[in-house]
Amino acid sequence: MPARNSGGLAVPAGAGALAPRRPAARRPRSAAGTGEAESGLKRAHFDDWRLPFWLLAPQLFILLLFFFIPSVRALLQAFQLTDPFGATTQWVGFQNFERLFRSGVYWSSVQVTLAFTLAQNILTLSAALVLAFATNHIARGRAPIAPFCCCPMRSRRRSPASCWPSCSIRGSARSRSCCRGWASTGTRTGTPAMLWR
Amino acid sequence: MRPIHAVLAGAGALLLAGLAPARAATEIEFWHAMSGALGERVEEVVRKFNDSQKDYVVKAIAKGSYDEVLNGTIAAYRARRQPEIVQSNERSFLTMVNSGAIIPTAELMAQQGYKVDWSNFIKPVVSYYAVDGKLQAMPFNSSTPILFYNRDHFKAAGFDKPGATWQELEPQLDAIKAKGVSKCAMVLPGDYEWSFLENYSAVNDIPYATKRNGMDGLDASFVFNKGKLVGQVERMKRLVGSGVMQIAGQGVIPVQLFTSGECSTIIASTAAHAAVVAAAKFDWSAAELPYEQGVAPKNSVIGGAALWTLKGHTPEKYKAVAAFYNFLAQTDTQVWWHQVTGYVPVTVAAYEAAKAQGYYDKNPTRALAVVQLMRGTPSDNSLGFRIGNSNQINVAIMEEVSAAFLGRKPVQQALDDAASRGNEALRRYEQLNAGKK
Repeated sequence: MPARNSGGLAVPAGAGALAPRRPAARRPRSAAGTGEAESGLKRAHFDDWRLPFWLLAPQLFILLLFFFIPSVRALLQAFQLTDPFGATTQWVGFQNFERLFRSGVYWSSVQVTLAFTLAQNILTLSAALVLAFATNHIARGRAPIAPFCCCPMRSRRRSPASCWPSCSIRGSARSRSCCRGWASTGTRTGTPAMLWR
Repeated sequence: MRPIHAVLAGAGALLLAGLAPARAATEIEFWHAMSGALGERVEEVVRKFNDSQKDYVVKAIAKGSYDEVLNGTIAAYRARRQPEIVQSNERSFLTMVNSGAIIPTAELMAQQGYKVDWSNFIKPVVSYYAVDGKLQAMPFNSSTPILFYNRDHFKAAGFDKPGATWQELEPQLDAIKAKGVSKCAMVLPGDYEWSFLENYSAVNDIPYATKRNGMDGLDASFVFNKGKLVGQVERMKRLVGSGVMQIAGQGVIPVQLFTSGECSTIIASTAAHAAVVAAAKFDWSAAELPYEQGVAPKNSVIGGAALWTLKGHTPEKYKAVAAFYNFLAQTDTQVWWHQVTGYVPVTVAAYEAAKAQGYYDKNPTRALAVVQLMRGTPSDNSLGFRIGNSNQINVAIMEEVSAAFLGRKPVQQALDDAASRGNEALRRYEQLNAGKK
C-alpha cells in the first residue's frame, strides 16, 4: 500500500485524482506528447520497463520464495509419498486425498473448524455491533473516542475509495465526513459503522 | 617492547598452548533426548569419554523429546547438516533402519577395526536392535517398565507389598483409596501405551500385531482390538473413572506425583530410578509388572533408545564415533551407567560385575529389569515389536484410548478405531518401503 503515494506507479482507475496533483517526481524521461489530452491514467505510467522492474523485483523475489515455490511444492507433494529422510519419492495419484477423505479424524476436524468459525463470527460481530451502538449513544466524552475510530481514515484521507472497509461497507457520506471533519477541524461525531470491524 | 605488549604476547602464547590439543582433536556431535537427572548423566558420560583420551571430542546436545530429536534429525539430514550420532527411541527402529541415512553399528565397528563380541550383549536388547543378527544401532539406554510403590502407603492400608497379579493388585489399590491412605492410588504414566498396552501383551502372551508383532514382515496388521487387551483398557478406564488412577495434568510429570508422595504407585520405566532416588522422601520399593491371574508371565520388552550413526561424514569422524561406542560398551562404563540411571546394563559382563559387587543385594529393585527381561522363553508375542511409522501410530492409539477414558466412545470402539488408524499407517509404510525387510 505505501506505493500508492509514490505517484510514479501505475494506479488503476479511481486514483485519477491523485496523479495530476502530484506529477511523477522520479520519472526517468518525460513522456513525449504529454500535453493536453494525455492526463490521468496515462501520465501515471512509466515510459520504460527497467525502473519499475527493479522497483518491483524485491517484492516479486519474496513472493517467489515464500509463496510460489512452497505452493508448487505443496501441490506436487499432495500426489506423492515420500519417506521422512527424503530418500525415495513415489507418485501415488489421488491416494493421499482418498485417505484424507476416508479419515474420521479429518472430518471431525472439519466439523470443529466450521463450528468454531461460525461461532466466532456470530460472537465477534454481534459484540462489535452492540459496542458500536453503545458508542453512538455516548453523549459526553466522544472527543477522546472518535480518534480511535477514525485514525485509519486519517492516513487514507486522500483516496477515500480505499478507505477502511468499515467506512465503505456503509459507504455513508456521513461516516466519511465525520472522519474528514475530525482530521481537519476536530471531532464531531463517531458512527457505528466505524466500529463495525 | 612496552610492558602491555609483553603481557599480550604472553597471554597469546598461553592461549595457543591451551588450544593446541583441542584443535587437533576430532569433534563430533551427539544429539540426545535426555532431560533432568538423566540429561546430567549423559553430559557426564560424554565428559568421561572426552577426558579418557585426547584424539576425539564428543559434543552432547539436548534437542528436546524423542520426537523432537527425530524431527530435528530428519530436517538436518535433508539440509545436510546432520550430527554424527543421534539418539532415537526404540519405536523409531524401522524408520531409522529403512531411512537409508544410517550406517549399521556392526558394520561401523568392523570397518574401524573393533572386535566386539556381540554375544556378550544382553539378548532382549540385541534382538530388538539387530537385523539378521547384525546390530543396527548402539544400544544406549534400555529399560523396561516396573511397578514402583510407596511402602508406607501399603503398610498403612494393611498390605505387605503389591500383589503379583492384577486380580490381587486391583483390590489393594481400591483399598488404599477407600481407607483414605492416599487420594491417588496409582498415577497414569505418560508412556502408558508402552507400559500398559505393549508390555501387557508381551507379558501375558497375547498378539499385538500379526506376523509376530511385525518381526516377520511389513505386511503385519494390528490385532490388539481382538483379545485380552480390551479387558486391560476396560480396567484402566474403571480405575481412572473411580478416581483410583489419576491422570497427571498438563505439564505435570507423572513420576513427580509418585516421588512427592501424593500417588502410591506408578508403573514406570526402570530409568525412573534416577528421579525416585533423588526425590522420594519415603520408604519405596518396586515390583515386577502385574499380570493376569492364571498366566505364566513372559518377559517384558525394552524401551528407551539407541544411538544411530548417520551417513555423510568424513572417515575421521567415524573413527571418533567408533571410539565413543567402544567406550560405552566397556564394563566399567556400563556398570556406572546402570547404577546412576536405572537403565539396563547392555552387556552380560556388566550385569555380572554389578552382581559381584553385591550391588543387587543392597539395591534389590535394580535387578528387576534384567530379571523381568530375561524371564522365561520369549514367545512370538514377547520377542518385541517391529512397527513402521510407530511414532505416528503411537499418537493415534493414545488419542483413541484417551477418548475411551473420557467416555467419548466405548472401549471396544476406541480400540477398533485405533487399530484401523494404525493399520492405515502400516499400509502406507509398507507401500513406501516395498521390497525392504
